[in-house]
Amino acid sequence: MSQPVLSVSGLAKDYGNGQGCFDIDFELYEGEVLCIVGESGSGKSTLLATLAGRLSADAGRVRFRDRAGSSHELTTLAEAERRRLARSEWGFVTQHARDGLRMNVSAGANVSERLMALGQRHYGQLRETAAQWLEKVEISRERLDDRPTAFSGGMQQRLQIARNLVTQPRLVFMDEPTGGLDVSVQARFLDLLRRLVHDTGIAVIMVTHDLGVARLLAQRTLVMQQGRVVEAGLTDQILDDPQHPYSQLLVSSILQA
Amino acid sequence: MTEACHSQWQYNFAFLDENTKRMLRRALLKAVAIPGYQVPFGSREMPLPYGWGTGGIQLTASIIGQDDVLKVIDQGADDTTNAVNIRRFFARVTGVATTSSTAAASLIQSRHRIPETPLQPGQIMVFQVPEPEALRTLEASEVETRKLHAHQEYGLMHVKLYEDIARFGHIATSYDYPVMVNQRYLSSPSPIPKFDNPKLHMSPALLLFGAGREKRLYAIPPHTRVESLAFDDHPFSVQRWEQACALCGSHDSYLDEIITDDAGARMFVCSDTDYCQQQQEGKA
Amino acid sequence: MKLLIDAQQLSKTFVLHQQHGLALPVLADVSLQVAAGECVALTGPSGAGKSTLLKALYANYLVGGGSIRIQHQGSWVDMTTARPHEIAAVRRHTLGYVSQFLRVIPRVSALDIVAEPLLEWGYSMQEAQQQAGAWLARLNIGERLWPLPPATFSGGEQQRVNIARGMIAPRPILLLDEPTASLDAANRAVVVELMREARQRGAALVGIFHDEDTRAAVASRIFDVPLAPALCA
Repeated sequence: MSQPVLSVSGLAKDYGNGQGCFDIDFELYEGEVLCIVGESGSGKSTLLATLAGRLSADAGRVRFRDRAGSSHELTTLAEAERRRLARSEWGFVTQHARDGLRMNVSAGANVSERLMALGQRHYGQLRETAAQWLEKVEISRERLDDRPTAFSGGMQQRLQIARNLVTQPRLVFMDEPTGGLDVSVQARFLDLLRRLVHDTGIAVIMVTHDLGVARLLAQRTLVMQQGRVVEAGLTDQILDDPQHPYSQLLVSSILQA
Repeated sequence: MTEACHSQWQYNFAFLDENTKRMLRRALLKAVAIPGYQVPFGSREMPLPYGWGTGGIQLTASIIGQDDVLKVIDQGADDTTNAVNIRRFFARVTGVATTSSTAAASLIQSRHRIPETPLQPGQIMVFQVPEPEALRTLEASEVETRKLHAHQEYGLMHVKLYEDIARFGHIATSYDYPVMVNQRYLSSPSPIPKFDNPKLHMSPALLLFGAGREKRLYAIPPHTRVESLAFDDHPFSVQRWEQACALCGSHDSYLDEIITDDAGARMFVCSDTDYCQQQQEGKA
Repeated sequence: MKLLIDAQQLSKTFVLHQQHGLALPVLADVSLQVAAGECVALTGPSGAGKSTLLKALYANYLVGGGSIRIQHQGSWVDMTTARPHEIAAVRRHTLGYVSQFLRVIPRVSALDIVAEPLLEWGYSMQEAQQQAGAWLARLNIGERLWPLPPATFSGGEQQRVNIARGMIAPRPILLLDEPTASLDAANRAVVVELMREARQRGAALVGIFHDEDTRAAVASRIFDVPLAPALCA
């Protein structure tokens, strides 16, 4: 735990019209959950996509340490290498399941795909692994052959998690994973995440506009406004003792149940 | 049997102009150098529409020489309309000798079958290919499939096979069965029955594949590893028949099922007409 | 006895940007040292900063000046300058906090809420749940309530779950913010006993107790938090 999984310094993605993200610095250690909160247009999704290499950075460095302890500079990584790491070392859960799943193949195929891409060739074992992961995300294994189109929104999101975690990545990026879900479904999803993070020790970077989600899941939070991080620290500190005017505004805006 | 020499019809030898032939040969050389890799080419206007074998015809036209002996088959038969037409076309525009005997041919153009008679070193087979991209039904974007090939990311194809087993209990693909060429590129062997896939592996012949509509060609040089995709616990297997050929009695060839009357009577006959005839003559 | 908390010259001013930058000084030059086996009761008038000081020790609140050193696994960690993962480690192993109100996590049973700190310490699920049950029983939470999420519990029941969760993993330092506030006499006595046992095993306790009897029963020392001198707004 002495070396960070992700080291970000001076990261920027500039769309030219003031939009984007600028001067981003932070480190993420194994097992940490980091929430990036901000309102629409704050640049948080841009930051996430840039960290994951889906957008090319305009400035700065993102150093990633893989399972074996080797360092990779993600901003200058070759496409082939980035795709390889994206398959085995990290995951990406999108807001809309259709962007993160193959909707026209079965749940089992969705979960097994990365294993097959990594060379696993035993159908029976692939199927069993997929079934176990479905159960871990609280989907009955009887749904293994059903397509995601037959699943509810919450189940689709849980399937996305299974698809991403099956290769036991070190780091998972999540872009507003509970965005489209009903409140009760959201609660179940967040509980599952808490449990999985606890059980697997993965590091998570999650973008959300919901401070309640941050409170529940994240030890650390970055508050973004207009492309910059205005406050960073422990989640409970930011929620209980916000320093920056914008943080204070966000916190005071939370509706109390 | 040759017909009137091509000069009477005022076509260039083998119909295509020399520059086009050169372009095709260059593309073929590249394809042979990178087994299984799809090389784009400038598909020309041919006297047949797309979907009728223009890719195969262009490849044959670019490499056929005066000393060649050409065989053309369609689903194994020399005597179907398409095979007859293409064979006659080349006879007219080249004056080259034609044959129905696999053993006697130096150049074989085929739609959707490989002859039963084993190919020899020095023979060239040209396959007509409708869809050269093995991943097309799974990934519609050409940009993306090119990336997948470049990065050797073929998990998607295994997803398809997985789905088959999940849905049908076995891999349902019975023709155009995907193969790995030279342990590097995933290829479509064209819609040959999977029965013929083993013939691709370490073949002594040169195998060329042309898709005119899609404007891609690819090649499997002689003695190249060609492995059909499968799972460890669902290995690749070929079709088998209980029946033998009604004409020659062969148990080893690919059989066509022919309905013979309105009462539903049927017979099984070799798809490869030349092979069937050889077998019958051998027995006589 | 061994010093576990060494806080020096702490100052904190709340700046309310929503109220035109209104500045509320709460702590000014506060120093506190706590040794193992002690129970220090923070006293002072309302608004003096007792709760603020306690939360600052936990790094839940930031301080404007000063240092807070915690003895963690053989060395000193300054909570005011430590990295987030270091603070997380200190909280996990060394520094426990029993808040005034239970922050309700939806859908998690009382038993699992109490068991979780032991799971983090590597206990098996079976062992952790067994101990959690023992703690809940001791705090008079009936077994029938254990599988239920505490959202529907009474204030007193929620607080007892909170105490169990905060104390079950025997950390060297415990911070307690009004732990007995919503409890009846019988349960107050249980909590007093739990705190005595913690002191006996060598833990250092710092707490806020409005109830004078409880304070008298548990505290080994009183620390009066002085009112910060008011600054001109």
